[in-house]
Amino acid sequence: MFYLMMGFAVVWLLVTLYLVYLGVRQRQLDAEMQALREELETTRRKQT
Amino acid sequence: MRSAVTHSYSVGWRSLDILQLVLGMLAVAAMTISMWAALYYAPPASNLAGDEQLAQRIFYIHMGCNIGALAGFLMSVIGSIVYLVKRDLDWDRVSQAAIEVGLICGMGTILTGMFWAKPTWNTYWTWDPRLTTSAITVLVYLAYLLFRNGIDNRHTRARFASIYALVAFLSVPLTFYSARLFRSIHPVIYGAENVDAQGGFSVGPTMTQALQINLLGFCILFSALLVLRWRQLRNEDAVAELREEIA
Repeated sequence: MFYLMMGFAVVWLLVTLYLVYLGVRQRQLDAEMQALREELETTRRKQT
Repeated sequence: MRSAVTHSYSVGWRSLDILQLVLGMLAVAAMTISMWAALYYAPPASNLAGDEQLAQRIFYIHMGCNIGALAGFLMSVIGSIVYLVKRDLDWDRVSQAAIEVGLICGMGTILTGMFWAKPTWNTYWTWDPRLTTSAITVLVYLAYLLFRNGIDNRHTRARFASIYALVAFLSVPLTFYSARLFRSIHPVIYGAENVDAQGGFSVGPTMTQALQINLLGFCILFSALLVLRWRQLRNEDAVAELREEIA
């Protein structure tokens, strides 16, 4: 039973870890995108 | 004023959101059914007993992972060829996303195989031709991701990565035929029989159905992860371009 359980668990663990990685990366990207947009807006406002 | 870069990425966003949602829901349903088919629907292998018989059910998820890896590596070839012809970075992103998801599935194939091998071969790992070529394939594609990170220019990186992905794919048929062409103890369930195989079993109609359900389930899971990652890579490039615009 141990090997069967481990065989299935390891696949789900890999998929879960990948999804967590994607989630963390997405959160970083959203924050970075927001910061860059604000920076771009400030720069443009200063120019005009 | 809205950046041209971010605007171009938002085109068709709504339809992609829907596609991603549908694929995600389908993947959850398909994987639930796949687990049911592997653990309950498929009958136990009649020529095996004890732990070996229980571990035989790993076969379904092992083959599922295998088809996910194959789909990923095959998709990377398509993405690479289209990139080299069209020079459209979106296809390079498809290639990268496909290889990442393919690698997850490839690692899943090796790890599930190890947990099947222990009760069957009495060892987690042996330098059998099939196992060795599988490990080489995973390492070759892992190197692809490391190699990409070393190049800053997006088009240069995409060009070299595409060529690398095309060459790397040679390891896939080598892995497939390794148990058929070389002396291997890895069972060959379909096609030519492997006389040296240890732990082999015959697959009846219900087992075939369970296997088909798992293959389909993993293809759907692969598609859902591929779309998710591909969109994220588009976002990453949008951020990079925005950063360049500001600099």
